[in-house]
Amino acid sequence: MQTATRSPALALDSECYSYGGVGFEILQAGSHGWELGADHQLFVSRGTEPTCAQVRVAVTVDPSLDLQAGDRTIDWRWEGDHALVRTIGVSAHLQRVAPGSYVAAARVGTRRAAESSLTTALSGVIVGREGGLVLHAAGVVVDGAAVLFIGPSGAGKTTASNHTAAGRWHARDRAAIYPFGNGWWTWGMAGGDDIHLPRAEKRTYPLAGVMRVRRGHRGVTVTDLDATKSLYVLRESAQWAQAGVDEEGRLLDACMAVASAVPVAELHSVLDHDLTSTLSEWSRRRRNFVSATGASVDRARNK
Amino acid sequence: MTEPVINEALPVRQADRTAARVIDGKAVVIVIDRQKLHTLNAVGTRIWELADGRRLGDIADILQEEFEVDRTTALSDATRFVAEMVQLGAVELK
Repeated sequence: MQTATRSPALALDSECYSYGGVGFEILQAGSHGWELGADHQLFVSRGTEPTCAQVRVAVTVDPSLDLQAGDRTIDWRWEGDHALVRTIGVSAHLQRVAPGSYVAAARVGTRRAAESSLTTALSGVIVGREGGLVLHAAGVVVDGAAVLFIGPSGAGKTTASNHTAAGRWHARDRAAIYPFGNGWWTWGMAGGDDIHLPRAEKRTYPLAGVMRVRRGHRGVTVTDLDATKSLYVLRESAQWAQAGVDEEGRLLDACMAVASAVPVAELHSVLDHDLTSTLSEWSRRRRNFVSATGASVDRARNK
Repeated sequence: MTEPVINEALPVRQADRTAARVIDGKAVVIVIDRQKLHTLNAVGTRIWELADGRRLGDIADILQEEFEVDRTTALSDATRFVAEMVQLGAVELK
């Protein structure tokens, strides 16, 4: 007696986690399995952290994406509420259903790194659309809040972090920052050089301030920046938009919103001088920072 | 790149692939394709705002009035600024 052959049902496995300020729900077809890289297993809870958005992602495997040449640059372009997001090993169609709510259909290559690439790409694009931005930054937690160090490669971001002896590292190379409630929050992202501090608890932190790092020669100094200079240094360190004028405008608006709500300063640091007390004092002194251009925050959030 | 020949009859326009925001009277301009940021002072910001296809001479007239300088100075400053911005890719003469 012959038995009729039945096609196996698609096995849908959902994975839920938070990363880069975004809550993810992954739905995948087949038995590929979903495995994040070690760096991306920074936050595995969902629903307990303040995130700026949620995304539900349907994932299929496409071996042809393994053949892609190129680097890890993330390319995206919004057309209304739809965006095509691409990076090495990943191609995803993203749709904004409502403020803070997204769905995506993604194809990933067979290499394990594709899943981490997808997570990084989508979180950066979504955070940007929700009025936040991703900064090239190292960060430490002092007194329960995070201070981010920004500047081009070689400016001294990692060095400044390593010189915050009583702090804990929060970000080594990139950090997502986004508005939530009445403040701004930061989420350390994957990658970067080792920082010789204990790691901060795996969660998002309120953003105490941003410091543009420069090498000092006569001791440690902190100089608060005016709104224009703050905008400049934030944009200088923001993840570069690969698309058009609209995307660039949105990024500038986010930088303006941060500059108006979060203290931004220039830090001249010197080797072998601990920065913990400097950061604590600066954060305490700037705690009553008053928004100068509050309207720009609304503009960034309402796009 | 050869320096542009500029006369006051030429129309001045912000380049297509730029984005800018003005904060506290100063503009931060990005030339997207060159990935370069530029901060403009008050006069430069005003010229940037007026670069909507107006003739350079008309821009100088407005600067003369708003900044209370003689027209020769206004035109000289505007010409020098526009020439620099053309070199940076932020402004076009068309």
